[in-house]
Amino acid sequence: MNKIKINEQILDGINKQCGNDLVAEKFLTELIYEEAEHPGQWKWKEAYKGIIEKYLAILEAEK
Amino acid sequence: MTKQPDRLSIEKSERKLYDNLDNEIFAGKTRKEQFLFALAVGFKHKLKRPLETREGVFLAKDLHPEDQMILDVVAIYDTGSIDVLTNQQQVFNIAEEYAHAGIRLIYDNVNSGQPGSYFKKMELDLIGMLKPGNN
Amino acid sequence: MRIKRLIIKNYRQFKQAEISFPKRHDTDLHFIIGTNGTGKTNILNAINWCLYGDEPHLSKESQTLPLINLKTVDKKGSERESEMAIEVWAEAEDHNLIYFIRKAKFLKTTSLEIERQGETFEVRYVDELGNTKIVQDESADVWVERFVPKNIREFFFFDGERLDHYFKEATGQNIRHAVFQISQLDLLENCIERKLQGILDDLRKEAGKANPKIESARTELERLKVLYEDFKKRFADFEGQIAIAKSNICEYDEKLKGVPDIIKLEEEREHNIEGLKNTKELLVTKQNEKKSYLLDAGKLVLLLPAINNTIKVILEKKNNKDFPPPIDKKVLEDVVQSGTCIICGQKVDEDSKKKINEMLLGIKTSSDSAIKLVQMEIPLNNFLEDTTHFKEQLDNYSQEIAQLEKLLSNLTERNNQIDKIMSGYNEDLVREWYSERSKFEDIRDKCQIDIGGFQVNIQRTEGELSEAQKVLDDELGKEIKVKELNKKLAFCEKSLEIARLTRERIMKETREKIENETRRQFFNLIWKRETFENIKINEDYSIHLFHKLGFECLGSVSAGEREMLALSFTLALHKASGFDSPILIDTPVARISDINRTNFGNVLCEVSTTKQIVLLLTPNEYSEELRTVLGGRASGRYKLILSSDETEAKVEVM
Repeated sequence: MNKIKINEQILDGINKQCGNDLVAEKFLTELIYEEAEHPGQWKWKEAYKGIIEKYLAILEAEK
Repeated sequence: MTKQPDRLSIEKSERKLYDNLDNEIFAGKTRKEQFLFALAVGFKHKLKRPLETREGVFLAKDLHPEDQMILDVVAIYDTGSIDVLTNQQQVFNIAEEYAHAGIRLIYDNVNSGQPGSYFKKMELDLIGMLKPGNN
Repeated sequence: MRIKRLIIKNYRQFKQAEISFPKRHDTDLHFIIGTNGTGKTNILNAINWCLYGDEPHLSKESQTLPLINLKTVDKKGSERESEMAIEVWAEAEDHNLIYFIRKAKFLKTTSLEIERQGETFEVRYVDELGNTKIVQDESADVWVERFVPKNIREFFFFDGERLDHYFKEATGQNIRHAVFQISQLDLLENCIERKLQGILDDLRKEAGKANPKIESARTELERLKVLYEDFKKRFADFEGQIAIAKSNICEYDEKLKGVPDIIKLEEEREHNIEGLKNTKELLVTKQNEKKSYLLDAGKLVLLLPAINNTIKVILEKKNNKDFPPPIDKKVLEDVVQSGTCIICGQKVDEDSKKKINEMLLGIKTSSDSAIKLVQMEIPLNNFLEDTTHFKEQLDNYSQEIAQLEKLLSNLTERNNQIDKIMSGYNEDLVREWYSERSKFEDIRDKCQIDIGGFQVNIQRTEGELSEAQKVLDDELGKEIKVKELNKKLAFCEKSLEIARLTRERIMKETREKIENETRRQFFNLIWKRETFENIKINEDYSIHLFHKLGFECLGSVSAGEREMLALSFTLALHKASGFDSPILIDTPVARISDINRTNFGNVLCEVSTTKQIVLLLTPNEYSEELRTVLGGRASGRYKLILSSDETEAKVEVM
């Protein structure tokens, strides 16, 4: 599947806004790509919950 | 005591002149007012014409004191005597003769040009009469 | 992404046409030249039909014709069904191809009727594993949205001649929406922020089940959110209405520039007509009054000699003490005549008669006459007094009449002036414009009042939301059972805030970038560089062009200049957003004069180094100046040729 191109400005913006919080940055980046891959209607809730759990686990592991 | 006349008269054949001048010159004026004006015009021009066929034009009782006064001063001037004041018939006759001449003068003047110009000319003539030395 | 190839089969003038768009030079620039009627605009329509199923640039004549090529249908003979197909091959950055294919079948039912039998649309692509996938329906539409989203396609595929309508139809809200989509900010706002908020709401609901206080605080927060969204929506509605009203007011201002206020002039004319009527009546009255005065007072002037004479007589009599007479003259005359004394009744003899006559000679005035004369003195002097004022009174009348005549003349002249002013205009139309403008001004004013109320509501509700959020967070914090939930809540809230702040910052940066790039492109494109000073794009995305003298002049520039501004903005949008899709422009330079086409060509060459640009030109547009700039640098050059029977167009490489 072709990787969808995301506006660099958005990725840079997230990077700047997150600062040192790499977990948040990766989390939002992954969400962005999910959204770009699935324009229109799609079963997003489960996907989002899964991604949230994933990054919360990473956050816990880092502590 | 002489019998008092009860009306003033005009020449029967010239009633149509009064009728004709009703709308153009004498709009809104009574026959009495028209008569008095005709009298004044006749007097100004020193012209009198006796009536041949008399026809009543208005009643003597319709004369206001000022109107009577006009008739009287003309009669006094015409006769040169104040005694005429005791003879109303004579006063009326004099007035009628001046009015008879006057109405014809007015009619001829009006019908020689536009009605508007009659008043314009009259205005100029009257103002001229009031200049010092003219009376 | 770029268009690599376009294949047209049996569509309108095109029986079979294939156009490749190779990238050969440093630019990805292509042009197709065709006179009107050869199918130039239908190439744009073909791409639209393939991707979206419609033809937004169809001419009036073509609207009555079926899509299918008529020559194909006629040729079929006994086989009455024909197929039409359009394929757009899009090339991604990794050079993988995505094939957009739309087909339709047509059946000729009678010699005059052709019915569409069905239509299919599919997208073919190669997935990460190298397998060819075919998708249809909504999944296929998803791919179209990735290529060029439908609701912003006018920024990618557009008719150059309509570009000057752009600023009339596009409001700041539409442009903001377009910027969002082109720069993918809708991914942040409409997708991530909204969905994270949805997740947060679910988490809070879950926490609310564990503790009624949390549930109560959550419910209150929800209620306030709904209220807040409603206020914001209605605020946005009012903003939209105000924007539309302002846009319409500008349009009418433009139409009415230099046009007199017909409604006011008409009111003045009516007023003058009334005035004329009244003045005429007054004039006639005054003229009649003067005439009447001339007759009444004039007769006294004519009789002045008589009046003066009588006054003189009266004075003489008074001086001579003839007033009143000692004996009534009339009585004596009657006695002489009757021969009888009226006092004692005795007969009067001759001596007595002689004495009486002598007495009569001495009496110059009879009592009657004396009384009359005395009575006349004061009124006659009043007459005299009146005649001294005769000229002055006449002058007064004349003056008043002259004033009224002048007023009549002035009013008539003014009405003639008004008629002359209004004769140059279609009164009904201008009246309608003023009326419409007034309506929009009323709408604008009313909405501006109403919007203030919602502004207050929004601010108040923001405060209440903040308070309610705090209450909920406090409750959540207290509740140990929801510790895990709290972690998720905190994580999502933080992410949501980051997303929101990122969006706001990007919007601001994007707007500034678009403004700068629009300004740069515009001053590259236009010829009157000394006339314009600056371009500004406000926060509401309304675009403003400023003259060197400082005033805003977008409403008064030429159609060509407006087109260049719209093109500059579109190019700026593309550059600032980084959205990678091609631009197709039909008839781009019809309104631009030859000399200035050089600027246009240079700008497009520059832009096409990073973006595919396809131009659909008429031979007139492809003038010497454009040929010089584009000819050597274009990667693809085609021309359209119509068959001699005008039923088929072919594409030839130039």
